[in-house]
Amino acid sequence: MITLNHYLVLSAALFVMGFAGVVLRRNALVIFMSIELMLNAVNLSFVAFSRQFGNLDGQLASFFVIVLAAAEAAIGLAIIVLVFRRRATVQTTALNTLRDATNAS
Amino acid sequence: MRLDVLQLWQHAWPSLTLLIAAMVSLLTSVFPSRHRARITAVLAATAFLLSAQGFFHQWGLGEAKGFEFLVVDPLSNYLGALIALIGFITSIAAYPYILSQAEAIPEFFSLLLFAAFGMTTMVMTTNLLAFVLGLEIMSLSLYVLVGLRRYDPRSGEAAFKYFLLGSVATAFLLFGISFFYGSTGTLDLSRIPELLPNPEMATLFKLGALLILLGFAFKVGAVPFHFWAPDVYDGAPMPVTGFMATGVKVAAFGALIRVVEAFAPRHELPLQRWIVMLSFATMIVGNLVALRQRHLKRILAYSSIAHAGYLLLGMATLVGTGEIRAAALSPILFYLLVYSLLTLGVFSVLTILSSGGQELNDLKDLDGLSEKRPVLSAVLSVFFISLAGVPPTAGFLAKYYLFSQAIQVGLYPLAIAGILASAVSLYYYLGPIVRMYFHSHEKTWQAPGVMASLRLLLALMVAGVFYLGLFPASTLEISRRTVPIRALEAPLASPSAKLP
Amino acid sequence: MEVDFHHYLPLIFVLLLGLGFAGSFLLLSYTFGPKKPTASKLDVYECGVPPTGDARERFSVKFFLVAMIFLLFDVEVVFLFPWAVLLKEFKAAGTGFFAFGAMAVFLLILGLGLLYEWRRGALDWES
Repeated sequence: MITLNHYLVLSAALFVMGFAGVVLRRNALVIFMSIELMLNAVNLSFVAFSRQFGNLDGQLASFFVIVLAAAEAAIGLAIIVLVFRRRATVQTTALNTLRDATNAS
Repeated sequence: MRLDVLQLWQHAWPSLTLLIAAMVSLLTSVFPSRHRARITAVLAATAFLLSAQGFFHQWGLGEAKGFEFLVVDPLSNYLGALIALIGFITSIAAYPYILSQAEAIPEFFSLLLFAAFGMTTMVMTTNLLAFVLGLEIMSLSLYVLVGLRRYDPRSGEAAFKYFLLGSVATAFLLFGISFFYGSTGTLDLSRIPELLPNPEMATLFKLGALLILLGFAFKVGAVPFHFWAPDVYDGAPMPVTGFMATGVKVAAFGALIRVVEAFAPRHELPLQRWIVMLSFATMIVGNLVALRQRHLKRILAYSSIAHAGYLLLGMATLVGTGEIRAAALSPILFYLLVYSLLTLGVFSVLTILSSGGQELNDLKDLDGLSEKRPVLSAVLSVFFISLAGVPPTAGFLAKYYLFSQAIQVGLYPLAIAGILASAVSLYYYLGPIVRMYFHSHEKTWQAPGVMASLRLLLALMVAGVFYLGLFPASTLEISRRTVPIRALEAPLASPSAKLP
Repeated sequence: MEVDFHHYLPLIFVLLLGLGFAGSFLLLSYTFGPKKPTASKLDVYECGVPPTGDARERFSVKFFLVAMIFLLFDVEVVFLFPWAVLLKEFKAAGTGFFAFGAMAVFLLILGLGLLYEWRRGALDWES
């Protein structure tokens, strides 16, 4: 018997994995995929709650989250290509031009 | 249903005007013409002005009911008018800047309109799903706007950072919303009062509220979720930075008012403690770190963080009163107006100075400006001094109302911290002024002349700074009448009611 | 609601059987088969054509552009499915025209996006 809690635990696990990926990985594309994972965790919990209540708002929300993720993906890829054209790398450690330049006057 | 569509248009046309203008300008921008930039700029400015007028007109009509997703009340119209005006000023100030870029980008204006449409959507709803859609329309447009200077690696880097951190924040916000939905069965904030407390779901509800607040804290740049702001402000094109610093703040705080309004009666949430902590950290860190900055845009970034702290203090006051009252809300609304005016003023002048094709950045770039551009220097000084909160300017009164309200509800430590922090802020606001007037100029650079419309606009803004500082009564009255009627109607959960 | 898992037992049985067969044959040919490696045998199989270059080479940015455009227009279809399923109900309720009009506006906006893309040359491969 699969209950609401099973879905929620899975969703939370996916979300945490996604967040860990964002924090720990250095490749922009992998970070990007991790964000998508987080959004899909959100979808899962929306749908699980929606089934629990028998109320369609959650499913509606997940539709919109799917589209939102696609729009984010398109813009994100465009920005990554933009950065790559300038720096020839997608490692986030290379992006260090902008920082608090307090000791350099 | 046909009637519904007409009714929707009737009440939401100021916002929809922005959307339609955005799409039209996107299309006109692709047909080859030498005047593309001019056409889209005129279109954008007209649409913003029309929309602001519409919002103001609707403000006078009071609340309109009967929509599922849309809230048309004086609060949404006040904030909508403010957002449209921000867009108007930005589009006027940005026009020479856009022409000066290596590739004049006509899409700038349609993205500006799209972002403003998203912002108005954010403040015109209590439905969290509609709110997130507005937020994303705004954010996605802003990610692109930040990366607009394609040939400049700094712009790309800023866009990248903003995009990554912004999407993570959105994911947190959405996760919080799904918990909210899971614990209440609705996505609509305005339905909270009619819901019975559900003890089984108390933890979920709390977690959801916390995650939602966290998402907001990121968007307004509250410490400790502020780290993106200096980098993004620094790398973004100058007019975009000004638009972000004002428009995003107005939209996010406007939506936050609705969230706080909905959550405040739920006493199981330590809402006030959360907001007080955020406000405290934001005011202190924002002001102290700003002292150590050498880049103009970074100073302004930390300044905007500090101002977010003051506004959060206002939010804490709002929770503290237990109910949303004109007394607690009007200082916030007045502050948002004044902050937007001053920050846009600073950024408009900086945009003019950056319109020579070279982005103004280092504090040294301002050296001796008063000899070359005396009027612009004077105007810039007025805005900086007012931001620091020196009487008799608008900045002083706005802070005065905010802090005195906090003292009235007994938030003494927070108010004292705010007053001390804004005293510190005087130092870094005076820095650029000292540079302009007391340093000799080494840098020889050309900033172009200022168009007549922009001169008029700047003159009006400077006049506004003193007008609001000396004769605030009528404007305060407007903000005082902008109380969400919905909130007054909603029954308050009394503390004795059974808590979840 | 209770799910009777034993209904799925034959399926699991077939799955295990298939895995077992395939696995055992792979194992048998690996252990008993003769191994005489030559250069051309070890080479990458690319439809019988000698491979050129490395598979990990950089792809043209054009592919990213096409992928982005495809992604957007592909995902928007998600709204068409529930709409298509429910259109008859809307019609029965007398609001068919409204439902149709709402989708028409949505598709119009998508169409404007396509027009923009086209005019900006995002669809031209050669340029």
